Amino acid sequence: MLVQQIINGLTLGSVYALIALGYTMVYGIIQLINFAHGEIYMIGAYAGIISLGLLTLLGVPPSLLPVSILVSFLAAGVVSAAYGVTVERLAYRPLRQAPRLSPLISAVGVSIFLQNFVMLSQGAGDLVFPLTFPSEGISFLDARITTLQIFILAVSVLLMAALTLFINRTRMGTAMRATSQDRVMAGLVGINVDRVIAVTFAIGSLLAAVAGVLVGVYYGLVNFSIGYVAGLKAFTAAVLGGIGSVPGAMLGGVLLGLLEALGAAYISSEYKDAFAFLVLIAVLIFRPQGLMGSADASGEKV
Amino acid sequence: MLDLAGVVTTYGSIEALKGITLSVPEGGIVSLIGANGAGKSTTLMTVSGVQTPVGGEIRFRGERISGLKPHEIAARGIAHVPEGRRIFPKLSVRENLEMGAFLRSASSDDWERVFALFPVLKERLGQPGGTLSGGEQQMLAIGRALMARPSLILLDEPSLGLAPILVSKIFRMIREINREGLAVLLVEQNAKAALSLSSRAYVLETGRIVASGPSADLLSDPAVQEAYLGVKRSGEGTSA
Repeated sequence: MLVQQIINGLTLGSVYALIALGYTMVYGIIQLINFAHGEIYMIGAYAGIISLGLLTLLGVPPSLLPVSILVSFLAAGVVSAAYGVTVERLAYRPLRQAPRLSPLISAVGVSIFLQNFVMLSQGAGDLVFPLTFPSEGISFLDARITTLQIFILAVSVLLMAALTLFINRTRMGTAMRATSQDRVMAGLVGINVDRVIAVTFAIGSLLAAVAGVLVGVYYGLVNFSIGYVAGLKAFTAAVLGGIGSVPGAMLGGVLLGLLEALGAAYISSEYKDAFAFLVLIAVLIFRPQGLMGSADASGEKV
Repeated sequence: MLDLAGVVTTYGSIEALKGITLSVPEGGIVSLIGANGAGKSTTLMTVSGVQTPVGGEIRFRGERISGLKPHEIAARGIAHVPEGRRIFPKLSVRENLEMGAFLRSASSDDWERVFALFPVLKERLGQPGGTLSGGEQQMLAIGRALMARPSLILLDEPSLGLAPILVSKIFRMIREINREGLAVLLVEQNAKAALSLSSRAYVLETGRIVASGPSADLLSDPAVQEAYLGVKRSGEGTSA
């Protein structure tokens, strides 16, 4: 049972990590907790479903897995990135010189707006995610890992590796780090800071969108409110790892997933969601800078 | 080359610059001296676009640059080494220099030139910028600016907080890069050093230019001597 819970926890945790990256990258660059990020994830899941519907209309059945996976990832990524960049442009950029609380309130407003927008346009009920993976898996040590779990882990690891390379090895990635360390100086060396911020939102949204599709396939159902809890948990993961730290968000996500799975198995499955928030409270009290965050950021929490 | 005409900059309701008019000729060194809070740094920040002037205009090689974003002004050939150096602390020395050349692709010539001026940077390439000493950070800040191959460099208090031996070294470097054809607008509290380096100078007081002229003239001007060079006026007895 322990091995099984670890597998389940890692699967869930890698998805949390994908979403947490968006929180931590945006915080790193403009010190804003983007409370609308969970909704960007939810919109990704919807975009995935809609793209699969269109694909069916074109005569391609969702059971043609490689095509439908690729199409749903692409559609989700493009749509969510567009939403993320638009939200930054309309709701945060005009408030960049305002007191810190103003963009935070704007973010909460965007979150409520997007939830209601999706509810009104797509309906309030659950939608079935029309993608199913073959149910085979690999059994070992009394545990079983399904092909879908392997797929989720592989996609997450691949994306995180790609992101790490991008941030550390490319000119744009270095410009992102420079901007997060000193935005004024970044402008003075010729970096277009507005563009770097937009790229940050686009990447964070894209990762969240992929997470949305993965979770949609994993649980099979999607509705307009899934971004709320997922967003809070990913935020917790980001704080646990140290908000602003990219490796921290990855670590925090995986740890939170494990904690939840083990807590649900050994303590109580009914309190599953409560574990995440107990962790959040504990981290804020005992280690506000998170596991990998720098100590000087500790006074800067929400 | 650089011309400011009646530039006014405000922070909220406070007028930090109350109509600054000055110019820097091609290839010249111009210094801007004055007490703390006189508006020297604000003048540079306004030239480089961090602050947008609310009045007057700034032209660079004839083109109006006031109102442009900092990265657009940098692209026109103005590099700014701000007060406090503002090294990217967690980027390596190499990455700091690469960011200096963000708008262009640095050639091996650019690297060689910076290493020739500041050999110590070559030994520190892999080290995070924040771990360098104050003097090394100042060299990195100037090196980073040079990587952009600017035609005008704005230097804000390059001697601040440095040991005297380093100060003279930095000033020698400034003269050297100027000899290569780079124009310099220098802000300094160390007025004597600034005046001996520059050919022309402006004295700033609470957001206004109160004196200007060839640096040698200002250096021998009794009023400037008393206010900024720590020289007591002789023959005035007890008057404070």
